[in-house]
Amino acid sequence: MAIKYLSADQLPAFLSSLAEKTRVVAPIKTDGVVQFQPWAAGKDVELDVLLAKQSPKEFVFLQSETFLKFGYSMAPAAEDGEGEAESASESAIPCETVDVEALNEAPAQVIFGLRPCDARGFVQMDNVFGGYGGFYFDPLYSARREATTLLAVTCREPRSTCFCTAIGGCPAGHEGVDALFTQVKDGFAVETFTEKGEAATAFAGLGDASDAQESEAAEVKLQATGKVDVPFALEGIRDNLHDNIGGEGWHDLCMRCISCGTCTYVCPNCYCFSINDELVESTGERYRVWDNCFNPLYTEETSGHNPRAAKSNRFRNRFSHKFWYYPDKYDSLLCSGCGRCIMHCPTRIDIREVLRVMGTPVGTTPAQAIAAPAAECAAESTAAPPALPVEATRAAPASPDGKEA
Amino acid sequence: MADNGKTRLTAADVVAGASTARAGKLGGNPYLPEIATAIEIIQETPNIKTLRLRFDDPAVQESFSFLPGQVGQLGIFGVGESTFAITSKPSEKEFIQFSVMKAGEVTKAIHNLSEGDKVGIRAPMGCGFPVEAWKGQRILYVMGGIGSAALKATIEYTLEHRSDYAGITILYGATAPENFTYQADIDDWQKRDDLELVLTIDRDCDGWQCDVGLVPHVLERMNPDPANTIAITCGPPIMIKFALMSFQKLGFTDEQTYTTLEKRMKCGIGICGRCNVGPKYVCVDGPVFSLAELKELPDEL
Amino acid sequence: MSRQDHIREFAAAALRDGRVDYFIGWKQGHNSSEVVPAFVKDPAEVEQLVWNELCHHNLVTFLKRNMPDPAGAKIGVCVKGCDSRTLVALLQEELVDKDTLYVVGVPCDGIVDRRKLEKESADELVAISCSDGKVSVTTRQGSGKEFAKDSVLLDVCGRCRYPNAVYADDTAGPPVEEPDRKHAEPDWSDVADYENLSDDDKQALLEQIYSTCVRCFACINVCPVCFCWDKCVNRSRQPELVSQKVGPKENLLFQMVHMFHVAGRCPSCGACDRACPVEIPLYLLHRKMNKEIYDMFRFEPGTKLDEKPVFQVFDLTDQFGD
Repeated sequence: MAIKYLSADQLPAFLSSLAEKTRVVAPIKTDGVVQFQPWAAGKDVELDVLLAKQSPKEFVFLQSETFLKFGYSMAPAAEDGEGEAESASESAIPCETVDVEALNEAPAQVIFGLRPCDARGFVQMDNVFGGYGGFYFDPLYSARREATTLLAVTCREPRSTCFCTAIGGCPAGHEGVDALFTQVKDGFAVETFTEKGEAATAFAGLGDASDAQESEAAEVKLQATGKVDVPFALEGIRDNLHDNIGGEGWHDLCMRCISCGTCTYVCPNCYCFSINDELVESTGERYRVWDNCFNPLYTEETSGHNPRAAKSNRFRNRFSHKFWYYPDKYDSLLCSGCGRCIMHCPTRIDIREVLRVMGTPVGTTPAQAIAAPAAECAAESTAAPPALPVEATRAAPASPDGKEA
Repeated sequence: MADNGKTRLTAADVVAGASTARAGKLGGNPYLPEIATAIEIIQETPNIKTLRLRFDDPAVQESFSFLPGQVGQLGIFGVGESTFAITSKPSEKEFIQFSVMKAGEVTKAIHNLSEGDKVGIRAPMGCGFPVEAWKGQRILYVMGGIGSAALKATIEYTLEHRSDYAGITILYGATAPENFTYQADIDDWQKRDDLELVLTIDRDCDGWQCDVGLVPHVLERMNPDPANTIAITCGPPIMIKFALMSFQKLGFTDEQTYTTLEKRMKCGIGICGRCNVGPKYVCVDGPVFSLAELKELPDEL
Repeated sequence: MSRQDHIREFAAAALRDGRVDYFIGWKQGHNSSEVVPAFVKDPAEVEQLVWNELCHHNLVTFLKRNMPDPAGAKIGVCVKGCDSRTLVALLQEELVDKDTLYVVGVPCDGIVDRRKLEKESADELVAISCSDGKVSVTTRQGSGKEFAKDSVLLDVCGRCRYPNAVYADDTAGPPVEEPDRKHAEPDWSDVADYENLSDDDKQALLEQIYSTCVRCFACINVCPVCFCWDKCVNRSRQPELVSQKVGPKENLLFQMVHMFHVAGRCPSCGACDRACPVEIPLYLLHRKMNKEIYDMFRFEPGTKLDEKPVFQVFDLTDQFGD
């Protein structure tokens, strides 16, 4: 695959050419705050600040999304002229009817300037919404996902809160990435990995990269990988979380947690949601909206019984979901090491510390942080995960005979 | 591609009828309910109603089938959905039936329905009881209160296929005589000679002919033989807890003991992440769980 | 002895004597640019407690309903002046039990606004230290900057009228000089720009500010006087009063509910503002609200233990402002 080059001053023109056909979303700084926003000509794309406040997941997995609209009306009994009403009073009584319409908007869009951890987050959510392993297929997310092209930018200067390499990621990783832009002198080296990436980078201003630019890009990637700390050993965490399920350590770790939803909402791959109905007179809608497992009411049942009334149980659930429950179902972690949860938690709860403490075998003293960074990009050494969409064979359904005895 | 055969689906897959899109119309949207009309509403007890519903689309009604123990999302547009066990006989073709206790927002609205009103249904969902694998064994049903709804379809199935099973025993407890659901069916069950039926109420009262005592106590008095027997229980959480303890005392193994769980649910299709107990979703891995499976899970019931 | 040493000494004594089950203070976070709340159970571990210009958390929030773990624990807690006012607000309404608390007041010269420092550099801040009126900052890539401390304090600190705790069992060192509250009215100049907007412009500004709200409840949960927790109107399902949908109008109502419900108890400590992950200027509206309350009732929330919050009492002799 040939590496191309886009000079930095061509970036606005490149984005404008995309904007002619699709929505373009990019990290933009407004009043000092960097967020992913729809881009328009004249807006500067912010790439010096490593991470936008939130991940771009809200453009594919909308924060609130109406998926059903309905309206009640009274319809007269059928006047089809055939046969007669059983009695005069039956034909005179109008019946309630309800019209239901399903909504699913999936505008084409390109997200430019996200980081490899953000793209990896999408891949992890794809498993859930794409019916991996015989589960249901979610058409709302999937339609938007298929209409989205991800153009990621290599992290030249990872933060101290990054830990992607500890969990199989990389500052130049391309899991879920359609095309990867690596900043080199005066521009970007551009690699494409999918057909979508090819299509999005079919821009006149993209020429072949020179040998010097190629090797500079390789050097940038190597240096970046070396700057990511490895704060814990991934191996064994799943089993140790299982063994530590009743551990007292959860109480100590969550003392300063205020049980809000910040970590889940800024995370590139947390995906739990709620569904609500609203009705005004006779018309209404059903929508889904982000929810989070720290919400004290998350698991509260109508009877008033709440299996996770204790904050420490909710706290345990989130980390266990990411490193044990989800991997058991989807053969992948539910974390990409971006560190946003650490950066934005009002009390800086540190997922690395939680995993280090609760992910060690019961009865062992947790290891101190390993400051030595990974020597090479872990992601490069594993088989490339499938790019989306996959031409999938039909997944084996859950056993139709009910449980195996 | 993971080499364990698991894959992700695409929209094309689903249109082609991939079987995981089994709730709602095939090839479509598992969040889109089927519209059904309430054709009969039965007041079972002061706070439990049984609703018989018929899908408006005749093709859907015709092709609808479910496994005993499966559940469905019954919803009222504008109020919301809740999960209920399907309580019709699996062989019933004319309607789908749910039994609903009035408790909160959605169930209150369901109790306010009249015959002719419209609802939305997404069914069947979840895993049913492994009734095929249980052939040749004795089945012991131990239920209390609204727990009878969770086991009703399975009881009907095993009664319809009675000769496949070595024996059927039903222990059903309620707080008082008027709180038994399915009175009409109980009358039928009492007339059968191929089933052992024990009814019990918490405290004796005039005119009551059957047993008295809390379900776990009566169960221990009955002293059922665990050999070649499957023990299933459902009821209020406290009853389940003590019934499971009683089963252990009587010598039933974890693999022989089953229950069905309830959790706050939203999507019902294993996506929204809410109803998990550890790595298992009650809506797709359950609601049926053996005690052996439950012991692997965090204590978050 | 430094204030930090005082805090450590008080904490160690209280833990050794069994007067508290755990002691809440501040400790360094994952690097020296961050400070986080610390929960100390063992007197041997009080060395982790720090006191410096980064100790911005209002620790009173950990005394709220459902927060003490185990429930009913005896808790020691450090409070700055602003924090102590939220504690007094809770005590005025008997929402926390005084007998379970050991309060260490920490006189405060001002807290540094980390966001002001972050805006000066695209690179990550990894070290912050303060001395002699200067704040030194080091970034991940090794560059350093220095600021005059007064220029990078929190906005709340520039207007502080209560730098010493208004309620405390012990005080960590000598008090700082109090401003002359008798002769100086509070400074409300920070809301002047907002007040001068037309009603339409105010509406538009508020909708725009809250359009980025993600309804994470960080502001609500971090606020010590936002006490309803899981019974919050904003979460209520029966009846559903505030839509769960996320949009500018829904978010505006969400924030209005929060603001009105803390009115009369909120001293504008700014914890909400600092907790917001998307940097919504929450502080602005709470300040405006507090100005209204002051103009109407000459009331400053949380300053006197024997007072009641202004909206909890009805007094026929209340004098309204102009």
